[in-house]
Order: sequence, then structure tokens, then C-alpha cells
Amino acid sequence: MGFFDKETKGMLEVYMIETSQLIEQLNVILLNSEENQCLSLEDIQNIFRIMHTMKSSSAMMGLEGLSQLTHKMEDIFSVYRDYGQDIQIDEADLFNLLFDVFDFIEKELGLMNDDNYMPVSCEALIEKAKQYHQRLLNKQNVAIKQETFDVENYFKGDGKIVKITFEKEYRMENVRAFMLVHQIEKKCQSIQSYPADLDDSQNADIIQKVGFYLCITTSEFDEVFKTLENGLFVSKCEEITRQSKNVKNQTTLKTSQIQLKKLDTLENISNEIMMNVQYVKDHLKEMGVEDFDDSTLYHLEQLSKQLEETIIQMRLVPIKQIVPKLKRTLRDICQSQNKDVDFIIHCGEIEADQKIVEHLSEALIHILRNAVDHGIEDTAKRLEINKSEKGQIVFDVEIRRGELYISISDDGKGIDVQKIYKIASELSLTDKPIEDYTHFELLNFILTPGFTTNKEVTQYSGRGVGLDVVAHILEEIGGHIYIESELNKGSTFILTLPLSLTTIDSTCFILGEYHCSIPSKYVTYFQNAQLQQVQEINGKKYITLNEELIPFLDLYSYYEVEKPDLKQALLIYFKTATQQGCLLVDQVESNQRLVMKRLPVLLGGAYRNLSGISGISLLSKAHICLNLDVEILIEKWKAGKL
Amino acid sequence: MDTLENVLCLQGQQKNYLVKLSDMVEICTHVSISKIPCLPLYYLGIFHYKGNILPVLQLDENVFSLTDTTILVVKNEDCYFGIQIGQEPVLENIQNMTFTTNKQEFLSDIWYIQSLYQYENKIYYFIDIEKTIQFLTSEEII
Repeated sequence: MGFFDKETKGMLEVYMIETSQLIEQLNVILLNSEENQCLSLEDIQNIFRIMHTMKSSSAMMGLEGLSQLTHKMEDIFSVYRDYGQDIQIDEADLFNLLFDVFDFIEKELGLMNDDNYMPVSCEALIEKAKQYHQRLLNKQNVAIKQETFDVENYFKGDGKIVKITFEKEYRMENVRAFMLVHQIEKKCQSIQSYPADLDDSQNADIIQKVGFYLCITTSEFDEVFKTLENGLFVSKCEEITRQSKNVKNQTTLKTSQIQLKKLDTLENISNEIMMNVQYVKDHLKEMGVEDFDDSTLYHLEQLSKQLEETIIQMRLVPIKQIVPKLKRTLRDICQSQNKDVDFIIHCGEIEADQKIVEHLSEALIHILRNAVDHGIEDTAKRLEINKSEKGQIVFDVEIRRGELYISISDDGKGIDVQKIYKIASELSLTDKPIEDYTHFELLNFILTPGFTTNKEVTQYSGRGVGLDVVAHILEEIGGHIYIESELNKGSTFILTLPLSLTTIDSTCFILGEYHCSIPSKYVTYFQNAQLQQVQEINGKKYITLNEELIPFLDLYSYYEVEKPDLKQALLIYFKTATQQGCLLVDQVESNQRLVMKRLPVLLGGAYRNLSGISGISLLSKAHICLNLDVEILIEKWKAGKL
Repeated sequence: MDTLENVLCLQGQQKNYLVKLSDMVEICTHVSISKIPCLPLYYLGIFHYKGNILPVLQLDENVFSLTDTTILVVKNEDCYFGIQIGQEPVLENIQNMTFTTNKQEFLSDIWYIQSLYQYENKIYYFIDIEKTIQFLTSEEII
């Protein structure tokens, strides 16, 4: 039995999403403030609001510690807010405290989904916050100048908020306020006021100090406003725009994130509809019906396509949303390793499926850590070898050939392939002398599980886990990783990923007894196989097209199926962002949009790497289609396995 | 172990097997299994189950046709797979069977057998689905 009971468990998902978004907002504020060297009044307001929300929601979930901690933080920021001025960054204690709180909450969030979750004690942090708060109050010495009141959170509902200030000399503000309310009562659907009880003469003081606030719902706002303005003894009447409007927009975003699981289901259903339309079409074709234009079936097909496209759109999120997280990672590791790095981001407005973006951020964090830890030299060393004092890491996102193309380059020391080879042989990964490996193959050793060049384990990398994790993450979402590196100049990690996980325009063909497909966007050219002569160079097969040697992929023996009659067979030429080649096939069947199904969990990534099959689609009830991953096939060909 | 446990009795070509009823998801009839390349021998292929692709394992010796066949779908946590069965399994209560011996070893290189039971003059091999899945996912299938 875990920490949460049945009731709170139901709210857990919403709580976690909301809190992680608040935490993310906090992260953005903190990073920006580090850049600007100060926390602006607006930042203070926002942090206050974030802490306030987390306090109540954590209490609701029964997370006492978290609630107390955020409560203390809220207290601290309420003091700052009342100061009414920016906080300079030299208040290092405060920033350290904020980062500690941030880290703590983030860590807790990571654990909450676990069935055996028990809240970690944060007494020490609470104590730290308490002390800070106390110091702050002592410093303040003077009592809080002005009583304040949180307009935003006080009034419920959507009404417009008006602040009324009465002329100073007159007393009995509560009575005047009451009169005003009475004047506008008839024209309003609802009126709330602060202070609420206008009969109580003690409230006159509050009105004098803080002001008199009204929240009005009315169709005749202008008129009501005029009445208030012209009211007796009213010196000033102003409408207060709610700042929380931004917050509302974020709420809609939240809901769409909560709905991701439901979207998955919706998508599955939409895919099933698409497939069933295809079945009906196939069936009709078998019966000799060819003309579908303007038929009900045609409209059904169009509708299902629209449905599917809408779902894809709904799942898209901007990639730049992971930038704050990356910045934070970089900040931490640079600080701990005493290195100085400029992080240059070219990200644009590119969007991708939410699942892909989530996985991506995890992979990029590993790469960034690796770049600082193993790549960037410390300042002294950099100056010694005539490099700029500050290191540089460039994060670049583009779309190439309908795929995400992401690179992270550093100007560090690069990867020493000699060293890599030495370690690889110590780990018994090598089976031939170093001369027989290509530069590319040697670099790829660092993606092997357990591979590390760091003798010592640092806090951030060198545990022997890292880049193999990246390779694994990419495997899961059908992506690829390429490493380029030049000694003393730097390294570049290139990731290619699909933009969406669901459907893909595919070229379908027959290969022996199997139906196979590759993405249509890769296909460049078809040719009769008998027009070509296969050449063998160093045990690898090539074909010449336009005076260029192109890898020739013959899957027939690898898949243990009968070779086709070369007189009838076809060659399909393809080109991806990084690779090209040509595939021998029996015949091309069709171009169609296929629904990609993931490989079974049981077969996992090992099967994908073994077979070069990255997914499966259903062509009809009885026929499946193997989605080939040409990049893996090219790797197999390079390794001499095809 | 839950003493009031219901089990499914499966008839293989060579042996008889037991699977916990709680491990079962569904029995699908009239299913076609599709072959895919590069699979280890004990996998028969894959089949389409409610929008997902599931692998199908053979119980022991494979003698059935791949088309129009019956598949027992089992699961552990998020991992589902199918077992091709020749005939519909029989539901029994484990209390009616006689416990013979603890086994805890692999059979035919796939099935993790936790114990043996005797029932109506037959020996039954009790398959632990969870351990079997752990083994299959841990094993480099290459």
C-alpha cells in the first residue's frame, strides 16, 4: 500500500502535471534572473503565486512536508512583495535556497508515481527557509508599512474588479462604501466586496489603508463604473485587470497534457477506423468495384484522415519548451566543474509529438553533461591552447527530409579514438586491429553500455551510464544518433528523429514472402534490377548510379527468403538525412499512408537492431507490412552482414 | 500462494501445462499468425490484438496451422503475449490437484516452471508467466 489513498491517488496525475509545470515556471524565472542578476517585482509576484498554489495543492494531497516548505517560501516572498522592489542577485542565500527547494520538489515529483512512494523528509530545508524568513523579518525591523490583500485570489468568478479610494479627510468609509454598493446594486448581476462586511465599523480602517474593492458582474459595466466614479467622496476609481489571465491560458495547456493518455486511446481508435476503411476498400476492389470517387466510402476516408491529422496536431508541442531544463542542467554542471560555457540555441518554432519531445529532453541532458564533462576544457587549459576563454555549446534544431535533425556541438577537446580503442579492447569489444575500424565505428564504441573514459566517477557523468542511455532512448522513439568528432576541435552529436510517431506515407513493396515498406520521403528512384551490375569492394556490395557508388542491400539471404528473378526484380533507391543506398525487391506494390504499430515489448530494441524492422503495419486483416529502418540496414551493410 | 487459485489447464504436444487464470487476458479464436524474419525459433510470429502487435509463442512442439488458430493472450504488467493452443483450455481449481514437487527451472528454454501438479493421472507443469517474461526480455534474442 503506497502513501496515497484511493481518493488522492485519483488526483495524483493532475497534481503532478500542475506541480511540474509550476516548477518549470520557477526554473525559467530562476534562470532568467541569474542572467539579469536580479529578481524583478513581477518575478517575486510569480514565485509567490507558484509557492502559494503548491502549498494548497500539496496540502490537499496530504504532503505535509512539501506544503510546509512551500508555505515558508510563500511567507518569504510575501515579505519581498511588500517591500515592493527588485531583489538583487547578491542575496546568494536566497537563490541557493530557491534552487534547493526546486531540486527537492523535482526529485519528489519523480518518485511520486512509484507504488511504494513515501514522502522524503524536508525538515532541514524547512528549517533553512524558516531561518531565512526570520532573518528577513529582523532585517525589516519596521512593521509592514501597508496591509496588503491579494485581489486576484480573493474574488471568485469572472467579474471585473474595481478599486475605489475615498477622500482622506472623511471618516466612516464603510458606510460610504455601503452607499455605493446600494447605488449600483440594481444594475449588477452580482457584487462581491472587500471588505465583505460593510456594517462593521472596524472595516473603515481597512478601507482607509488598503482601499475598497468590488468585483462586479454586469452587462452595463461602463455605466456602473461612471456611477462609482461620481459617487460621493470618491477620490479615485480604477479598474484592476487580472494578471491571472496568463495563468488561465496555461490552464488550457495543462488540460491538453493531462489528456495525453486519452489522446493515445483516441489515436488508436482513429487508426483502427482508417485501417477498417482500407479493409472495406480492399474488399470492394476484390469484388471489382474500382471507382470510389464521391462515394460514402470516399467521404469516410477523408473524414478519418482529417480526424487523424487533428489528433497529430493536438499532440504537437514546441521543442523550445525543453530549453529551460537544458539551461539548468548546463548551469549546474558548469558550476560544479568550474567551467564557463556559452550556450547558443537555434531552435525556432519547430514542433514535434509530445512523447518525442519528452524523450528528447532526456537524451539531450545526457549529451550536454557529457559535452561539459568530457568535452569542454577548463579555462586555464583553454587559454593555454589558444582557445577562447569561454567554451561554446551550440544546440541546433532543424527539419531535414521531414525529420527532426538536432545537433549539439561543443568546441572542446574532441574524442580521442586511440583512447577509445584502448578502452574498447580492455572491455573486449574489439575483434580486429584499430586500422580496420573506420573513424565512425570507433566513435560509436562510446555508445556501448558500460563504456566510460573517466576513471573517476563524477557527480554528473562517468558512471558508465550515459551515452548508451541516449542510444536506448532514441531506439525507443525510432531515432538515430551519429557522432562526429575531431581531436582538439570538438565533437558534434547528431540526432535524427521522426516528427510524429503515428502514421507515415510509405512505399510498400514485396520482398520474398514479406510485405515491407520504407518511408516514401526517402525514396528517390526506381530501376529495373537487370540494368545494374553489382560490384563487390572489400566484401561490401555496391551499385553505380550516375557515377556514384551506392550501397546495395540484399535482404533475401538475411531474411531467409527465396531470391527473386532478376529479370523482374526492382531496385529502390533511397536517401535519408545522413545515408543512402538501394534495396533489391520483388516488386513495388503501392504508396499509402501506413499506421505504424510499435514492436512488441517482448521483442524490444534487440529485435529492431537485429532485423532492421522498426515497426509493423496492417495492410489487411490477414496481411502485415514490415516497416524497414533503412538506417539500421545501412549499418548492417557497413558491418558486412548484408 | 493463494490457495483458492483458479488455473487453466493447457494441453501441449508433449506435456500438460497450468497457467494462473489471473495471468490470462483473453482467448482469441480464428486468428491468423503472421511470420516475421529474424525471430528465435520458439516464436511462431506475431498477431494483431486490439490495435497492438503481440508476439506468439509455441507451447512446445508446433503442429498447428498458423491460420485460423486459437491463441491464449496472457500478460504481466504492461507486457502481453500470445500462446498458441490446440484446444480450449479447461478451468480448474488448484485445490483439487495434488502438489507434487517444486521445480523452478526453465523448460524448452522458455517456460519458467514453478512447480509440478498431478491431476487425474496426468502431470501438469505450472508456468510462472512473470518469470518467463522477465527471462524473455532479459535474454539477448540474437
